[in-house]
Amino acid sequence: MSSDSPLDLLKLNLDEKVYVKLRGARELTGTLQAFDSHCNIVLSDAVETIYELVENELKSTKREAEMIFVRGDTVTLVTTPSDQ
Amino acid sequence: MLFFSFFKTLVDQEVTVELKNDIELKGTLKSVDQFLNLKLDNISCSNESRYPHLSSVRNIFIRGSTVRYVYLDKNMVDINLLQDAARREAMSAKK
Amino acid sequence: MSPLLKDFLNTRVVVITTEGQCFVATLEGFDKNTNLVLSDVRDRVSQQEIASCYFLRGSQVVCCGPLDSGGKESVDLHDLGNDRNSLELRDTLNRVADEHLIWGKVWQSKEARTSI
Repeated sequence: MSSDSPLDLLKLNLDEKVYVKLRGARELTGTLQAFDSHCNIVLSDAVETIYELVENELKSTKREAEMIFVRGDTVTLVTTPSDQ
Repeated sequence: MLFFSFFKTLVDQEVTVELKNDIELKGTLKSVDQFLNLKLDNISCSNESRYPHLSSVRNIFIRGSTVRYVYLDKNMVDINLLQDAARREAMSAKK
Repeated sequence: MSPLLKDFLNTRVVVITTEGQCFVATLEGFDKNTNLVLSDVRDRVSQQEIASCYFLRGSQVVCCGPLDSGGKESVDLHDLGNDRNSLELRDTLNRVADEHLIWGKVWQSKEARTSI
């Protein structure tokens, strides 16, 4: 399968676990269900983590969603999760 | 066009939209356009005490560009159909 | 083009902007970019008149919905027991101060976890 555009790589990750980094110190992991050229994404069984610094200590808040649509303009990175 | 069609299949379902200003609106999806602007009916604000601005507003137009997430239920989505559509979209975008 | 706003024409609507302002106004017109023409524009909280006619760029619009008939034009502070400062809306920019420092710490903690 030829992959001549960066987004074609994402096609290989459909139905696989992905890690999505977002603007505003947020990240998501979940199973990639769909994406388009704007990086709009649908994930299933997603876990969102929001990071913040409280008195220079890293604090994270987690939130789960069984199916979530993510608007592409906040997406900065899509990759496979590192801890697997 | 993939997500335009996707949202059209969700019309009349109850969804929760999280906006980039942290407001969360739950309501029945009534229509979508190609910019992914959404129209919701019978909205309720999940964090209304913090954001009472939309109390006594029942139906709302949301500009697509200000959406952060749309939370859906699993049973609203045909996963196989969606993945296939995404593959087809990726093919057609190659042009 | 976008017929989504057509039903709201000539009604009192609540509009939230990307800067976090919130107005009540009459929707006089719109176009496919969601540019809005509003009249009798008032602040949603203070009810102060802002302009008799207002052109709002589509890129500044977050949402727009009609007030229920009989719905109060102003948010009643006493009903909610909120002070005015807590009624401020956020903008949509989601600027996080020192986001790069946060990510630095996130990577550090992840590396620490994987190296165990």
